[in-house]
Amino acid sequence: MRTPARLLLAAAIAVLPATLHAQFGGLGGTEPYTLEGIMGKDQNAARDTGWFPISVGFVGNDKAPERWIGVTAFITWDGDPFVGRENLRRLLPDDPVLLFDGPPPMMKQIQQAPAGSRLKVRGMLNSQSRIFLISGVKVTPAGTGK
Amino acid sequence: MACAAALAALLVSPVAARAQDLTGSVVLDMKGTLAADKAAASEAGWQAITFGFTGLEDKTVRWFGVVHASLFDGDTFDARTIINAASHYDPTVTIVGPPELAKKLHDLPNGTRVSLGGVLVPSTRNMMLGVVKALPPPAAK
Repeated sequence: MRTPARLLLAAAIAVLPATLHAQFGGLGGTEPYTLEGIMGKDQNAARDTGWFPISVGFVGNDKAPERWIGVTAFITWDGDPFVGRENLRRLLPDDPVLLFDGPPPMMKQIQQAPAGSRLKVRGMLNSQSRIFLISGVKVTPAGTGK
Repeated sequence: MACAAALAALLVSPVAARAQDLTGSVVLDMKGTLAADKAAASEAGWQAITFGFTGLEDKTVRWFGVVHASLFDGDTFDARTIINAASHYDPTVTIVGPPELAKKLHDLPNGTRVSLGGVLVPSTRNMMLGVVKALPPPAAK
């Protein structure tokens, strides 16, 4: 490769991150998060039990009704709730706010979680697509502690 | 002297393992942003609350936008319940000491991200601080 072409390639690589950041508004790409919340029977119930209600849909299962979760925590892999809140707020106008995807048994756990149960969901969030790729789910029935 | 008495009262009160039992005390950690007023606190956090301070000459309350709250065992569910139940009071939480940490929290500028922890008595909404830490602003991370 000739030197000018190399320089051009190097320049393109150098500005790529800034270009992507500007294009996608610094949404953070795909990052691991932990979501904690209480399953609500509807939006109002979720609003009563969490800091904020979010609706969740399920990728590949259009027939499954969306569920409402009252979010009590949304934190990054290193425990930063500020970044978690910032990124979740950017998604709040959408409905559903998050699209869950992942292993069928985990998806089923969330879909069938009774209202009032406590959820702890780990996964990777792609902010552009709103897809939350689940890697771990813990559902604790209401009133039984942890 | 009054502070020592308050500390002793908090220490001897039974620690509630479960937050639904609001008769004891709980170890509460919170992260959030100090703000100038309710609107700014609501913008900065999920829930806007106020801190009052006993023993300080300046009687002003501080607005705080709660971004995260958990109990000593990491329970965010009950922590949110406790704060939400107290949120309509003004001040939401009364900081009773120790004086140096109370003053530190009171004097931090608006916009500061703060991590604080201590022992809260939900029934009285009195809190004895154990730690107050100013977190770096987002750009400095």
